[in-house]
Amino acid sequence: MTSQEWLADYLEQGRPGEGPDAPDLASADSARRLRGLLADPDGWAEPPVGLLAQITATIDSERAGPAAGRDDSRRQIRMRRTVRAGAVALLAAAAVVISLVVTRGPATSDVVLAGTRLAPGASATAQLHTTPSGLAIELDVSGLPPSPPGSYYQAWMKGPRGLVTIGTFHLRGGPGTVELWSAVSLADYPAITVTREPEDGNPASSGQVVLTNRP
Amino acid sequence: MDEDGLADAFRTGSAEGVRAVYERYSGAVFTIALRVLGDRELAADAVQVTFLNAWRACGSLEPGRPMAPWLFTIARRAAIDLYRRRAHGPEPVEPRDDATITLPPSMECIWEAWQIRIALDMLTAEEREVVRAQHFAGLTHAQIAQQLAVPIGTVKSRSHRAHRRLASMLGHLAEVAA
Repeated sequence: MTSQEWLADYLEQGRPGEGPDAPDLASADSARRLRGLLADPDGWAEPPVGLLAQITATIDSERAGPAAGRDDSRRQIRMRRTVRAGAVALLAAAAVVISLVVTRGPATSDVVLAGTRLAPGASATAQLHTTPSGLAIELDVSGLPPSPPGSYYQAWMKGPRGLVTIGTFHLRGGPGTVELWSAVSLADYPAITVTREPEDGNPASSGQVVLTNRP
Repeated sequence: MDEDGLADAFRTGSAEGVRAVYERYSGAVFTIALRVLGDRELAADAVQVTFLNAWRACGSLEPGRPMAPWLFTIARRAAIDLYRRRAHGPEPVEPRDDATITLPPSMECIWEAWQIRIALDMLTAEEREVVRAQHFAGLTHAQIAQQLAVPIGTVKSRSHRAHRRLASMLGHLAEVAA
């Protein structure tokens, strides 16, 4: 078996070969990393529809006159940013309403989480129930893709005293309700977030927030 | 269109040339922009800037010079420029966590992501569909067969062929020494 055949088998099956043909540990590590990258969502993302039309329009315009073309390009980018800024402002306003409800609400509350720029189509509702053992949280998630192999989602509560994890999940069985548990209260830890985490043994947050109830 | 034909078409600066290069490389440019910026909107800005800058600089693409590394340099620079502008600008960034990593990925990581994306885009649509379902969605061959409504043997042969091709295109990244 050649090294290329070994790599093809490893990429396909994820099982390192054994015996005299098996590569050394460093090579196996490289192959493992490469296989992990094939699951990376960024590696499969497609640019927005219509971008080519904007580019060719700017080129046509620039052919007509360089200064006009550059202005067009800047205007298109500015327009996209204005739309984006509007969306952020709406999210911020929604979060203010949510935080008012949460801080003034009863012990059992509903908290709405919005998708961030890392998961713009995602949303979730967290139903919080006070129990003798702690806070039971039912997180009803929609629009969040299953976490690829080698990664998972982690939920957190955050407040002035710090960050507390309240569970991990992957959604590979499809969208639905995730059961989370917290030993800290929403009053002390008012921010609820979900992050995307690599399976790298590092217990700290990756900072890649996909859902949040804060702007 | 082969790589030389693509570079020739682009070098003329024609709309057809730009379109052909966009179709071949826009996925890879978007991938590395996302890797650097972590934001689809900003990454789209970076793709736009990349292709416009490349078109403006197409005279510097010498005949016989491979196009992919040339475009990679322009794309990486566009993404890093936007990253720096965002870091210093008034626009709010992604909601931050205490442990948010703020450094852009290394040159090696970006180059690796670029080459992997190009290799994936070089697969046929059928091969790519199977590889995506297997690695991105985490499905088994049986599940893929069910999803695509094709016999499992077809999925296996497409998967086998696709991974052979990926190994041949990406072998240099894995540095496998059997």
